[in-house]
Amino acid sequence: MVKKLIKHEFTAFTRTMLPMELILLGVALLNRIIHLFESHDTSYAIIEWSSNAAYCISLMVCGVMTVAVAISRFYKNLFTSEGYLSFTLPVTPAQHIFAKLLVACTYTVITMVTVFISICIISMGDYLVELFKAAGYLIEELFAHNTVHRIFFAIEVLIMCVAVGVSEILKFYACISLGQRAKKNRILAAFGIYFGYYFVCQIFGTVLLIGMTSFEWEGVVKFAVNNPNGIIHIVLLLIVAFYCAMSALYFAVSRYIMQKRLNLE
Amino acid sequence: MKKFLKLSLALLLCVVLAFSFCSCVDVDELRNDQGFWANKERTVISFRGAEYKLLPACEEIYVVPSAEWYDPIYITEKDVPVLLADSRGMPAVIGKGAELLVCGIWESDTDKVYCRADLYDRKVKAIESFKLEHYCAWGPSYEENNGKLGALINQYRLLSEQSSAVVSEALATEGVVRNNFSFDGYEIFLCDKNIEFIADGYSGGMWVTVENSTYYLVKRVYDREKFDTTFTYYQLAPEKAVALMMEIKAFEY
Repeated sequence: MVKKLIKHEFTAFTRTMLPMELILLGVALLNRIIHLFESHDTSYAIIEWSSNAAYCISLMVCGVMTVAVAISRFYKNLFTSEGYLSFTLPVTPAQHIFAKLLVACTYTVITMVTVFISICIISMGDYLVELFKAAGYLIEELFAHNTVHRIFFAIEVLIMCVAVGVSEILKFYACISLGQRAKKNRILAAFGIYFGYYFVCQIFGTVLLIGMTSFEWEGVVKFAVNNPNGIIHIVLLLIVAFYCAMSALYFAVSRYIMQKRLNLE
Repeated sequence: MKKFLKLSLALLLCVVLAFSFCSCVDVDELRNDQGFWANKERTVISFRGAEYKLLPACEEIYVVPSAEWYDPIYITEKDVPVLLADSRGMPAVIGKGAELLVCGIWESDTDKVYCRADLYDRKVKAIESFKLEHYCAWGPSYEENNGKLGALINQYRLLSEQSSAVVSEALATEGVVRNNFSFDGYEIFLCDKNIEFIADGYSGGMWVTVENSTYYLVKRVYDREKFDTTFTYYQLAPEKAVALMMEIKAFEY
């Protein structure tokens, strides 16, 4: 059943996102055709800058829409009148959240791949070849020394990016779920909870930073100087652990609301 | 329908592949401004199809600026991609006529001058035998760059025989040594007859100046061991000083 849920979720996502991504690729292609002329005329410069602006706008719209569709799919499917149907399915709330999270993350990756393809289209030709040469040179330079540690750094950074992405999406889900507890203006309440939570995090972070200045860091500094690779591994793993813990918390909040405090429109 | 789809896909692929053969003006310009170290010792540079060899160290060598003087080029190893030339390469500037190339222009202590291979022997002989027996002054001049007004580049010009005689006469007299100078006046440099070699400001710079209605030729002398600079004041006859100043001022236009 979960597979079918994921499949339908994917279809719904594609229905909205596919035209956006095709438009992005189309604008990139148009941009490349315009850049073929390479003239110094003022009229050409205006056209060139306009096409660059259109491409940047398409990029931003694609990125924002990926997040917006993920949130709206979660909200509409589980907390509006559609929810009456969704919760009659033989699927637990955790599985609902998991299905939506999986499709949202997959589509984030698809959008990133589309953006990469659009950049390749825009720079197609000599410039793209040189771009790949430069990237290859930098990667070779990066892994030329301290290779084993740097490979592990790369893996840890990748895991960290995934953990942060998943945590952010689950944070939106948790805010939407908590917003449903309001009697009126639930979406506004969800926004309020999000910004309120952000504000509290900022204050807590500042207080923590001030508090940390009073600690004795000599031992840590000594360790960092003697083990530069070790300290980087520790920091990266701590960040991954932190975001995994936060993801678990957000997941638990959403699941609890859906299991025990559901209040559909 | 399937045939139509296959044809559309094939056409799209051709269009996409066609772009692969397109050059890019920006990349071509970057390639044009990239040179390569031709050997490990970095004594030979390969740039725009010509080889440049490192000249023996000579502080007095003068490189006439080209219109590209303020657009640095970058000398890199052969495997460095053109997009990373500015971050991985050593900046350099090319002189007029692409005869001389100065590497490390922004780090004056490590400036190295490279000469085009076909002119190398002549330049080495000139370095071994030059004599700084003439005088020159500089005035601004504009270089053309592809038919358009280019960068402001200072060009040195030889003083006339009369003016050179005035300077030589003044230097033959006894001067008064002082520790300071206002650097207000018209600057003159010691050079060879072709202005290929110029004494640098520290030990070759001179000024024609006026103080309290008296005209002087001021020579700066720098003691490299003591890091000390002194200024020797040589008195000039007013009419000769004014004629000298007028000649130098005329160089500015």
